[in-house]
Amino acid sequence: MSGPRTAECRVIQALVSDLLAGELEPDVAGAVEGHAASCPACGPVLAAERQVRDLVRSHASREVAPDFLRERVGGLLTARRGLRGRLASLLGTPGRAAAASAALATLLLAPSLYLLLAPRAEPIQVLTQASLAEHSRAALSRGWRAEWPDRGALLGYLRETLGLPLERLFVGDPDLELLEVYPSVVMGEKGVAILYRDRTGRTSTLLVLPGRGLEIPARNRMQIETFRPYLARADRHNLLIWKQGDLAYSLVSEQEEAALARVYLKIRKAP
Amino acid sequence: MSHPEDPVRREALEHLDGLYTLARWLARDTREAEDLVQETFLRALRFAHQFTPGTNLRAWMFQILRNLHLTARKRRGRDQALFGVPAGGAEGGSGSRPGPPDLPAPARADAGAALDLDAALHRLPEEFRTAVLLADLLGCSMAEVALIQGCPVGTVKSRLSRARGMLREMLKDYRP
Repeated sequence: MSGPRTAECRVIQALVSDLLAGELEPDVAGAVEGHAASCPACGPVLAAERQVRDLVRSHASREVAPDFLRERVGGLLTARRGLRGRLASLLGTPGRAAAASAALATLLLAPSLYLLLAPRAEPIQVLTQASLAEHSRAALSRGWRAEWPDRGALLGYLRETLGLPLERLFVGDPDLELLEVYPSVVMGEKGVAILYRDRTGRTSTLLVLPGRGLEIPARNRMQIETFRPYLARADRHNLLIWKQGDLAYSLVSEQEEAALARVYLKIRKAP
Repeated sequence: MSHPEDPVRREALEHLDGLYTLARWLARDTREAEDLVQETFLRALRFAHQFTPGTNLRAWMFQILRNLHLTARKRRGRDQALFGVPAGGAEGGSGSRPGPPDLPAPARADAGAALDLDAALHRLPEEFRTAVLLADLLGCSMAEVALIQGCPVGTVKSRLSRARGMLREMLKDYRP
């Protein structure tokens, strides 16, 4: 194969990708093919690129998504939108400006609808939902876990980030097998998420973040010895939320309350 | 009245196999590819308001998937540097994942040829490999590839041409 011989060859060779992509008008495509057929410089260039294109097309691995992934993605796409989304759909609000106008009109016309559109969730509710989301995300990020270095490095990271020597908690306890530690941002606060596994194989997530400003309501408390953390149940998970010093802790698990309480005490009493 | 999510919800599933194919090529790990695809759909729904109905949903979703992959790769590089683990891996570095076998190989049966081609593709720089896969395997137009890769069409042409040349050189002893 040799380089372009003439200005025409340069033009022809610049059009090879377009020709192979089928993006040339028929007459131009014919002219390129015609030139290549009789040109010792352009003919091999076109033939070589075409050969590789055909090889990739016919031999490179093409995948079919596994059924469980299709179901999971299908579930995401067909899941009902939240109230805000459904109302936005009814109101026809494609852009932010339109959304603001519609919200304002709704505010003037129907104060009760405004309350539905812009509910003021308590911080504890926001933290509950954020913890659940973080737990789900962590449970799904299986591939990433393998990328992390050894447990010693993880524990060092944990101590440096939290300023708490929690590593003792995760050593030699079959109900607290440390899987992953990573930085997390919840409610605009930088924190740490710790994913661990109990002896039954269930994974749980402990979130630790700055707790200043988080008010924990007096209701929904669970008495565990002398402690009374906040208990929430959502989406088949139990959550315990409490404050300890300047930090807020959120423990998310499918464990039953009694098992969760045992883990809570271990964390609460960690030196 | 339609909602910004509607076109995504209606049409996105059609592109699942293509997205999964690209994810497998980029991530080279089944689980990572599955997570990548799932995260792509989540992002597409979350940012559906940024998608203009009637434009190219497939290219938009491929773009999300590739950006997620590149971000994750960058993050892994940072984490590995932080903890003193050698960087590398999917993009031909000297990381923990095994590299492709030596190329080229002599003429062989179809299965062997496919293996050789896969290995040769993995030896290409990411932007070259992705351009070839999108154009030649997944049937994207050059304008779509340019949109996905965030570069001019001229750059795509150049990448395709150079990538095919490199593949041809790596597979020069291969006889289909």
